[in-house]
This record gives sequence, C-alpha cells and structure tokens, in this order.
Amino acid sequence: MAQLTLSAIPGFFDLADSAIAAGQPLTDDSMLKISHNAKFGAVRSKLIFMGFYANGNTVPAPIDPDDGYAYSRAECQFVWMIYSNRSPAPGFEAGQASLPAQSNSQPGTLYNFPGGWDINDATGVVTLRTTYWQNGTEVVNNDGILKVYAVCLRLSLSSAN
Amino acid sequence: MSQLTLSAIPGFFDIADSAIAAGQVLADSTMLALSHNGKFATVRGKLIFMGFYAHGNTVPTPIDPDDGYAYARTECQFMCMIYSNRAPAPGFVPGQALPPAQSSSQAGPLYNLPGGWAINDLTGLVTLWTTYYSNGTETVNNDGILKVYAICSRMSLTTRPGRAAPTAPTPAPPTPAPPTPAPPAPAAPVVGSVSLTGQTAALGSATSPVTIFTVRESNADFTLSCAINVTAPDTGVLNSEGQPAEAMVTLVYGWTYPSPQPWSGTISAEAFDTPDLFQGSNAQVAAFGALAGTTIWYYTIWTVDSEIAAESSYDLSITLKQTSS
Repeated sequence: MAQLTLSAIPGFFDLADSAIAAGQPLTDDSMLKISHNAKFGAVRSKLIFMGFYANGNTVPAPIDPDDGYAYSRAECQFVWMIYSNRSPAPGFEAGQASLPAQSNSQPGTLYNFPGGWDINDATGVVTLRTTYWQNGTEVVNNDGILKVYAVCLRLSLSSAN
Repeated sequence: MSQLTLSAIPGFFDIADSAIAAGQVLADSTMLALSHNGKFATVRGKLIFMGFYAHGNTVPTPIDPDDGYAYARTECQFMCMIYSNRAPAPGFVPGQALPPAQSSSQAGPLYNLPGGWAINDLTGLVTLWTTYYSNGTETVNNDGILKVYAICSRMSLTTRPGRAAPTAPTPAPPTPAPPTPAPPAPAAPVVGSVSLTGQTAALGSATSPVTIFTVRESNADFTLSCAINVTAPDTGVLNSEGQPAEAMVTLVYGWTYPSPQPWSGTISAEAFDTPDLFQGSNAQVAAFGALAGTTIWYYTIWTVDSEIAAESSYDLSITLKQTSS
C-alpha cells in the first residue's frame, strides 16, 4: 500500500452556494476551491503514531506525511495507552517507535495507579504519578510508560488544556 | 440511520491547480477526479470496532462497511482499552464482539500491570505481561483482555512514527569554552552480525525466526542496530489495481527470554520503494538487557507487487554489540 502524496498543502474555502448556482458562469476560481476543499477533506483529520514516552518527556507536534503540513500545538490532541506502570529500562529514548524494555523491578504492589497521568495538549509535556505500597508506606514516584498517538485536526483550536 | 454505501471504491487524484485554470478545457477526467476526491475524503479515515482479544491473539485487518475496501496492515493502528487484568474464561473466541466472561480467579494482588501491553500494528499480535504479588513472590503470566479498535487511514503508511514539527528557534547561547575531549570509550565487541544484499524473499518467519545470538551463562546488555533499504525499478509501473506498484520490506527483530516466563520483545523497521514516487530506507538502534539463555533473532516480511517483483530486492544489515556483561 502506497502513501498518499500531495504536491502542495491544500487550503479550505467556504464556497458560497450562490457561486455555483444555475445561470452563473462556473469560474476557474470556484472549481479550484472545490478541488482544494476535496483535498482538504481527505487530509484534514489524522491519527499519527508518536512513539513511547515517560514522565517529563515532551511529545512534539507532528508533520503530516501526506503533504508535509506541520501541525501547530492547537491542532493536536494526544491520546495514549498505558504500556507499563514501570519506568523504562536504560537506553530508552523519548518517542522511540519500538517497544521499550521496562525496569525489572518496582518498589512494591501498585497502590495509586494511575495517579494523575496526563499529556498537556498545549505543551506536550507528559506527567505521570504512580504510587506503590511498601511495608505499610506509600511510595510515590513517576514510573510509567505511554504509547502515544496525536489526533490532528487542521484549522482547529482543539487543545484540551 | 442507515449505512453509507458506495458502489465502488473511490481513488484519490492529486489534481494540479493548472488543470482547472482559466482558458483550459474542463475535461471529464478532471470532473471525475474531483468527484473521487470528494468521496475519498468521506471514507478515508475510520474507527472500526475489532472485538475483544487476549495474549497471543492476532487482530486482523478490517473491511470497510462503506465500500468493501480491505485495509492493509500499514493503514491500520490499533487502539485498545483494558477490559480486564484476568485471563478470559473458557469459551472465549478472539475478536468476539460481546464482552467476554473472565477467569474466576487470579494469582494474587496486582503488581506489574500493564507490564508492557501492546498490539503490534505491523502484525496485529497482542502481547500482554501481567504480574501478581503473593506471599513475597512475584508471579508472572500473560493474563488480560483488551477491547480493540482499528483506526484506519487509507493510503497511509501509518505504522511508522510521525516526524516532529520544527520548533521555534531559540537564541544561541554564548559559545562555551572548548570541552576537554573525553577519553575514547572502549569499543563494544560485535557478537553477531548479518549483512545481506539483493534479497528477493522473506527471511525466517514469526514462528521460525533466524537466530543472531544466544546469550550464554550470564546476563548482559546489548545494542542492536539495523539498516534496511529497498531497490525497485526506476520507471513508473502500475499494479493490477491501477495503483503505483511498490515494494516494501519489514524487518522484525527481538529477543526471547527463556524464564521465568517465556517473553519476547520486538522492534520493527520498514523500508519501501515506489517507482517514480517515493522511497525510503530505515535504520534503527535499540539497547536492551538480556538474561542468560535469551535468544536474539530476526525475520523479514517482503511485500512486492508482481509487476516489479523480478526487478526488486532489498538489502539488510544487523549488528549486535555486547556493551556490558
């Protein structure tokens, strides 16, 4: 399967119905706008895999592989799946595409988990809080690994926070 | 509300603005392309419910109910929600739509959950690792049930990570004093390598991967680097569906722990080449620790349209270095 490739980034035009009414000349301007709107419709929304991230990492805004469009932060919202409650093993790189190895230990049994896990859509900063129960004491740290996708929508102020 | 139904699968055409400029003939081909683009935009992106899955199951690729389009693996990404930490009860069927009954027991209080839960978008394979803690002992198994959705995007190579958009430049800091050169680090010994060119068939398989190295009597850390590249003919060729013919190779490499519970980690990289359109190669490096007895392996998935199969091939190199013991 091939990757869709556009030679230019399409725009969107709110074409008035009156511009293409019967009796009106159909202009190249209207046709161009129809063409751009169809292309824009094809590329406007996108789910883009961003890789794996841990606490304190920053998820960047992506570039669309279809036409090279660079999304702004306001056009991205991040959804994620919990890959592990543990911290990554040494060698982990923020945003790596491959499955990361996880730490081979944790302080105790899970207690508060997830304890306020979030990716700030406005900044991309990942915040993870995890607690364990160890010998009658709650141990708090920032363990965890997320698998992250960007839900992108062009020409949108979609940031949740 | 009824189901949207298209009588044919629409295509996409990158119509040049110059084709609909003033003074040009407005051709039926241009109008058809416009019509197809409008339809394509309607059906391109889709969320499709795939059912419930457990460890070791494979999530298939879906068929679009709108027009019967069969998605390729590269057009699908799987999102999942944790339905249960427990294993399914007897009678569970992978992909069943109804919420499954779960096992009536578990090995102890939850400990490591999820312990590396993922669906490999390249293969659809579900991997779950769950541990429990009871009487001072961690019990490891592959319990768990996922509810899975496929997020589909036609004509997309969606399984590789998106490139980051550039950030605003920051003022350059004052030039620091030249650092004192660090002494050269000792070179890590190469313990396994693969270098193949002109390959025209898959190497190994998911069930019979090719072994690169087996960790011997003690645990050790490794870095594994790979590079793959596809070569296809330079001229534009269409396949039987009228799309540009292409060739793509996916390299999957990983390691399998023998104990305490069999466990595999995988990494994948892919390269592709479509004559006259685009091409790409890929190189990746991974670092990991491995227990004694761990097997480090690889296999490839080779996909090529028959129209260019005879003239297409791929190159592959893998280098495994042991960084500590």
